[in-house]
Amino acid sequence: MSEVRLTGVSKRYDAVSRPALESLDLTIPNGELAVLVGPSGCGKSTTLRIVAGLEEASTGKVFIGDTNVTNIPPANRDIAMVFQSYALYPHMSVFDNLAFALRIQKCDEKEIRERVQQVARSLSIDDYLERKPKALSGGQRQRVAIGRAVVRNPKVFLFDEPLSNLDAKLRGEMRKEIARIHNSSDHTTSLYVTHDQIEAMTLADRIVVLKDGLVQQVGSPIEIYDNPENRFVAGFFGTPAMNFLTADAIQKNDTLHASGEGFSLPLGKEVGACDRVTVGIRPESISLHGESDAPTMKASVHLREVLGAEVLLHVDSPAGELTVRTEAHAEAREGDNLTLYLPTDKLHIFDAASENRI
Amino acid sequence: MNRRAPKPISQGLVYLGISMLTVIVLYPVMVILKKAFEPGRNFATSVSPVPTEFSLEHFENLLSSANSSGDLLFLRYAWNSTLVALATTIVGLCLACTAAYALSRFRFAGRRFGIATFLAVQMFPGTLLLMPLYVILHKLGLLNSLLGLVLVYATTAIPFCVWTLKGYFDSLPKELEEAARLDGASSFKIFYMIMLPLAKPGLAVTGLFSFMTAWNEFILASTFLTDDSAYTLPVLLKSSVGQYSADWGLFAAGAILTSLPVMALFYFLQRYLVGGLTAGSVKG
Ligand SMILES: Nc1ncnc2c1ncn2[C@@H]1O[C@H](COP(=O)(O)OP(=O)(O)O)[C@@H](O)[C@H]1O
Ligand SMILES: [Mg+2]
Repeated sequence: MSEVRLTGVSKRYDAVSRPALESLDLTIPNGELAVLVGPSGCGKSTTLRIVAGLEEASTGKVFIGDTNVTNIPPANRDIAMVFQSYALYPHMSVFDNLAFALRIQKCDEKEIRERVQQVARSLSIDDYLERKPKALSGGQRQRVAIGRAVVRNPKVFLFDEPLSNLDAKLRGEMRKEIARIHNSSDHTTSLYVTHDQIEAMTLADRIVVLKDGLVQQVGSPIEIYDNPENRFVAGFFGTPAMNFLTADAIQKNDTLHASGEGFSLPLGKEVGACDRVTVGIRPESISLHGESDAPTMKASVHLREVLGAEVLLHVDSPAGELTVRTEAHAEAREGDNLTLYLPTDKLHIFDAASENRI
Repeated sequence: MNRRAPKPISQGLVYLGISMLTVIVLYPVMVILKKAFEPGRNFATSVSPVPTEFSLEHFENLLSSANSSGDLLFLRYAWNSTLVALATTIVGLCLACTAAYALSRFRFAGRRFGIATFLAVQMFPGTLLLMPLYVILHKLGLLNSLLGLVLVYATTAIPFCVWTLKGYFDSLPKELEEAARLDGASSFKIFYMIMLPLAKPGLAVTGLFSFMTAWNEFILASTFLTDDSAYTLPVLLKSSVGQYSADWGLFAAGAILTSLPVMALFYFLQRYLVGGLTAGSVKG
């Protein structure tokens, strides 16, 4: 069992500034890959380092499996970590880098050789075993860094932005590699830190969204995408980002409308005591054709960006600038006036003041 | 990055400047070389650095001069100097590298005070310590002994070595150590398996410094060593140009032979002095 559980973990680096982490409760079930995601400085690395034991939590406890590891040194936690900077031992060959931990554990030299060879083959670095890290490309170094973690066969893998130094193509390849490594064992739990929402969506069994040291939402990628708990999460996931319009909640003909200058959208649900709302709609949820009774809005196109399979229309509407994603053969051109259809069931409604979902 | 090709004129000026500086630096060396290979005890009055006659007599005299019991003096003092300089380097480096690592990576009570003290003692010239050191060595019965000299040299070299090495350890990435800690290495293993090998350029610089100071030092050596069997080379050199009779030819030949080992060390250590050992460890 290698469930990772944090209870009431907080971290204050110094007395004056705000805490880097505030009372984090998090459980990652055995065998899952959880991705911690959020903007830079939100406390992702801090969380990871607390799980690793490289940093002490100011309050709270960390469990791996059933063991309280809060006061156990990193070496005895049975975890392996891949650093953003790779942190390969520069004076050792690739082989020695991979073998380092096993040698410290005093494994038999023959077994070390076998395990290193096997991991090196699976990561296609077996041709470079005698080289020093400086004679490798960025992608190869990243593979060695991953290999060094894998060879130990730990209970928990920790990744701190492992792909951020690679170019886009390599990043895609290594993402698949990491998914494969994680899936190759049913009992390895992985905690992966990134600021990149695409990496988070593609890799995660479970996404943990952090902002300013506070958890915003925990859920599967689809849950997070379809039902963001607050405006921050809604805006963080998806490219291009969700459109937001702020409006008054007004009762009209028995239904509640989000009403602003020149537009009025039925909300389809109660909003309680709240009288100003932020309505979010994803670019792909706005369409150019629809049922005659669907809520609409007039807009004019001011920029058209072709992506290939799709096209992005940046339009001016009474509610401000909106982005619409539609198929590439749509006829709309710059300057055209359009009618946008905004289906009621695709609207995300947030309290404008608290920014929480209603 | 696109740098403009330098104009021929400005490039010419740069070369002219460099050549002039080189001449200024090399001139004294040339004068000593000239004296070493020119017969006669006295300095010629000519400013030309080119010898008019050539002879090896000074080298022969230097290497063959012996004391009453037949010991060859130069070789004996060279051996003394080697012992003192090597022992100083080893003692200094061993103590300095552990101290520097601790000051660089651990947080403990007295750390800042320790660092400040190391800097403060650097500010006093060695001669200021002459009297107290003399008294201490006298009480320990270490006057006239090479061991006493090694202790004195090592203690004066250590502050500099600690500072230089601490700066070097500070520059090594923290992640390497964290990776090793996760890999299960103890603090001591991290130190000697990871950090020490990476600090080789720093060790080379500080080792060379300790060796050179000990090898060249004259004032302390001439004060503490009164028995001529314990002399080091600088003391021998000075004694060849005494108050009443000066053999500058012998002095020049001795100075050149004395500087050869340091030059050889520079030559062999230069690849470390250039540094760059952490290349390839972090980033792409
Ligand atoms: N060693 C440290 N000392 C002081 N403050 C730190 C330290 N490490 C991180 N912080 C602060 O804690 C906050 C969270 O940092 P971090 O966990 O590294 O963020 P992330 O990895 O999400 O970018 C930041 O505001 C950062 O400035
Ligand atoms: Mg970080």
